[in-house]
Amino acid sequence: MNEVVFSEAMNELSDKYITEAIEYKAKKRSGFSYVMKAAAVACLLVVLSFGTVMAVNAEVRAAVIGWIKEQYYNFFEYSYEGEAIEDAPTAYEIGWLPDGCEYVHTIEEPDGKIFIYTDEQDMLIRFSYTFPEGNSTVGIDGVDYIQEKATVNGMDAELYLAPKVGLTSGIVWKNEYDVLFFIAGPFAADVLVEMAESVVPKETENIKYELGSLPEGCEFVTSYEIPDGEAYVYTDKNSFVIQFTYSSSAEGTSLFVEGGEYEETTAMVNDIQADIYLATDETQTNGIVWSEGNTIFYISAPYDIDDLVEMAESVVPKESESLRFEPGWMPEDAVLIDNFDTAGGEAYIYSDDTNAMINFHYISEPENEKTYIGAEGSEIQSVMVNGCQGEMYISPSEEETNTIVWIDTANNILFSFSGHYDAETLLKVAENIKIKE
Amino acid sequence: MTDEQIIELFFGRSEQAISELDGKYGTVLQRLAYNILNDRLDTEECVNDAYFGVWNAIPPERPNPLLTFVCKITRNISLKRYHSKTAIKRNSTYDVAMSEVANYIMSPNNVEAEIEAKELARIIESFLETLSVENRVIFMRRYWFSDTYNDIAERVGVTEKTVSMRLTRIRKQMREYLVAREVLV
Repeated sequence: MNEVVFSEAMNELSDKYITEAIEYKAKKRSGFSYVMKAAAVACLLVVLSFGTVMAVNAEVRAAVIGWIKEQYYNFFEYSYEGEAIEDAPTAYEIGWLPDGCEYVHTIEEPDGKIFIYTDEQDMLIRFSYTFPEGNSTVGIDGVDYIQEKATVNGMDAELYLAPKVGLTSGIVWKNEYDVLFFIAGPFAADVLVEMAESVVPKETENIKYELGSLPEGCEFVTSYEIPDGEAYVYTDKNSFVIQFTYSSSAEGTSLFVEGGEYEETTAMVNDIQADIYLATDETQTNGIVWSEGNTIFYISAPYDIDDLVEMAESVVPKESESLRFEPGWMPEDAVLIDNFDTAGGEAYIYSDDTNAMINFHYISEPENEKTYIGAEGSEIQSVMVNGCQGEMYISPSEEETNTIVWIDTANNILFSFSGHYDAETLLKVAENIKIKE
Repeated sequence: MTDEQIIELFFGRSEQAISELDGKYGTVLQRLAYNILNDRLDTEECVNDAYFGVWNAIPPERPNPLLTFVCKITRNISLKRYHSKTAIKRNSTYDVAMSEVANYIMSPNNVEAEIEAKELARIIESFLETLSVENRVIFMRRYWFSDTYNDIAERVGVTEKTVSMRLTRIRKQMREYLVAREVLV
């Protein structure tokens, strides 16, 4: 590919990205949003940022190469002053957490990511990384904490140990690429260091594949993961085993085929040469092996060359499995008018007897999208929808619709339903939303 | 004047539509064309051609948003002009932006992957969905609008250095994304 193709592809992008780039208004970078974010993780060693207008205690200003630590009254701020490093990994993950910890949520930041977990006592745990940028800052309310030095994989680290029970401790360090890491949780120093040392660059996820077609009478038996790939096992109508395997790796992959009892020949799979292994013994199955890019594929089945090639050519990338939802119950007067995909979700539009609009909408990863509720003057009530926290907006005017909004935190999905219905009916609709088959 | 009113003028075949369009969006379009062409005369001609293109398209089109529609026409015309004069060394922001991206879209194994622009566009769109809104805007402003780092920094509310660092990381992420999908083999 060259830049001409890239530029032409840019021409073909959906209008929505162009419009977004035209209409984007810079966020005000005040401390308020950070305070709000900190409130969401209130049990943690609080993370704040108030910009640079506050007085600096110059005596505690300590320059670490790239990141500079300064004290603002009762908290420390780490800010970056340095150059970007070209070959830095673009994502990280924590490799080890103490037993009983569960993942809760990811917050995407323009200059990094924050991962929230809970332990068995529902105490919050935070792991975050911040890429070095001109205005990157990380604030830590750690002035009153016990500060100790440590090392994380040979790099200097700072421990902020809770001075009393009920507070969480934290560890801050940077890696060789000047990425600043922060872990906070109700743990002792050695546990924090162990967690910190388990942080590794996250590898790019490989594409998954599946067979697009199988001969009649074949049944799926099982599938399992293999290094850098998957294996699928089926049986045909005579109970012979059929296996489809693939493996991808940027470093190259190899696959061993027992070839002693087989005759070898070749065939073409979508214009790519494939090796065919024909069994000389009727109790053995034939096989086909081919590769595309960094991925090697293998199918073994009791079929002739044409059928093997047909199966091979049916292999397609597996589509990402995102959950889709639909109403399982609606009031009798609701008639479905339209159903369409929205940015990050799906909308169902209904009409009732009075031709008023009824709207069921959900969005995945709501932190990246927005949903608006006309709630001026509405009475807001807290509700629970199948164990999920939600809010009911009851309008003071009968002409306005009422709305129920709830969040499925396990799947990170925001749902809303609005219509000219009372609270009980809204709740019933909400409780009957189901996963689309 | 609102976009709807300007469109009504186009529908009424009133030449006032062009004046209103120029008055409202002329500066944005001039900058977009200039970023690609780096030549005042070519820029002027391309923006005028874009107005003519809009005149021919509306009606029947009733674009919403109007600015996106006009920007697309302006970019297309400017790129055609750019490619028709390949012998000229322009040193435009577009040139610089494309040279930035060149190293990240080269095939690691020196094998040229055949891919249609439309197919690549769908893959780039799915990549854009993995970015935060702010980073997506930075990417689009650089590689669609060919904005300078300074312009992007002012629009997004960060420093030029941050824009530079973000773009470096985004290009790298894009390359990893394309390699994983075997667009680059």
